[in-house]
Amino acid sequence: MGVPDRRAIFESLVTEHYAALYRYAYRLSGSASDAEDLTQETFCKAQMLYDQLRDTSRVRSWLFSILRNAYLHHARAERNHREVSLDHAGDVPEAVDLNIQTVDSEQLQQALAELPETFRTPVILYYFEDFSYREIADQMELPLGTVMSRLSRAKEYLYKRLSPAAESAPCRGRANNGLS
Amino acid sequence: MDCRSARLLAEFVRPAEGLPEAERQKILEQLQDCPELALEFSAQQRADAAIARAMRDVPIPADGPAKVLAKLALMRRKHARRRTALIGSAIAAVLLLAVGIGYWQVSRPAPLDLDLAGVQAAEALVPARVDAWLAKHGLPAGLPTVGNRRLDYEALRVYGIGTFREQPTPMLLLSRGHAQLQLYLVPAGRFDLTGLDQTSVAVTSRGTVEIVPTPGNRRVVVVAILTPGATLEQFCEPIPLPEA
Repeated sequence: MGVPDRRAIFESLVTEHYAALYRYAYRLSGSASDAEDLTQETFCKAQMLYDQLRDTSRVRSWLFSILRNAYLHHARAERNHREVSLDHAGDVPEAVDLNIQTVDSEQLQQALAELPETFRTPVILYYFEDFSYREIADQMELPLGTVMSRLSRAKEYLYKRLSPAAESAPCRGRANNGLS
Repeated sequence: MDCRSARLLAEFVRPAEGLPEAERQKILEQLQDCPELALEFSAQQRADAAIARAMRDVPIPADGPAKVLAKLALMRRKHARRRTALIGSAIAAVLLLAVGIGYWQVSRPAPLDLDLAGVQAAEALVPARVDAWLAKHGLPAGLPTVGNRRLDYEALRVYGIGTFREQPTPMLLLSRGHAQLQLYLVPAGRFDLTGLDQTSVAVTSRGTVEIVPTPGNRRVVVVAILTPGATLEQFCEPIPLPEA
């Protein structure tokens, strides 16, 4: 059986991964048009660099890494949005209201946009539920412990931000002007 | 297991962590040992599920994949065109190089096609032995003259049978510095030398070809091949200084 040509490979990759990459791009950037551009750029780069991919079983992780790098490249150029600082959040979870039954997509996007990218990326990958802690750590080129610590703090922030109580009483992250 | 340990293990029950199902169930059971943690874990799972649903709740543009595929096809066509141009340029460069090398090979002075045993030892180049060799081949003694000056035995490096018009022919090789003179002593009867008159001079890829006039000897025609820039006079005996 012959080796599938580049066109066939990428038709299959786009069919299989477009939606997940677009969602990831949207949650990272918060904009539909940016997400579309980032997803397109990701596949273009992947096509150029495909020969460098040694382990095709890791293609999904590889595509997500390319997308994140593309996002970071653009984000560095336009670093103008306000982010909440999690530097003072402790590693020991505080008591938070976990009575979260439903979450509004836009409200989630606002909360994500307030997080620094170093916290936003792992928490998005975590909630896509397909990436293990190890895979997230590999993608971000960070030690596993660092990723787990960041995830813990980012999740705690989201719980506070998205809990019904936050609707009436803003969470500490916003209330104490922790935005940096 | 205490609640603190159970809390740490709870992090690894997500299916994405890839724990074997038996181990996963074991951790879940251990979580039940701590009722407070079990409640918290259950609430957290519900909250996480709600956030995960919202996280994936992103409308996907229907034409997105088609746009990407079109862009990728365009890139592949551009890449193919660039590669074709690159290959074309490489072929052109190789051809140009080949033509250049070919021209250089043709235009440089050709190596002498001598069929000699090797460069003669110094004792073989003494005039008497050279004259004896010339006589052996039915040639008049002494090196040919140019005008009224004789070619210099001092400049003689090699003599023997060379190839002239694909025929074995007595040949002498003289040199001074970088200049070289190849002389074929051609028996007139053996070759059709019409067209080669006593004044013929030609410039070829091998150098300048001249017919050295041999007045009084119609049996031999001396064909001289000089490296570019050299003259016959360079290989003659020095003009003796007039006596004071």
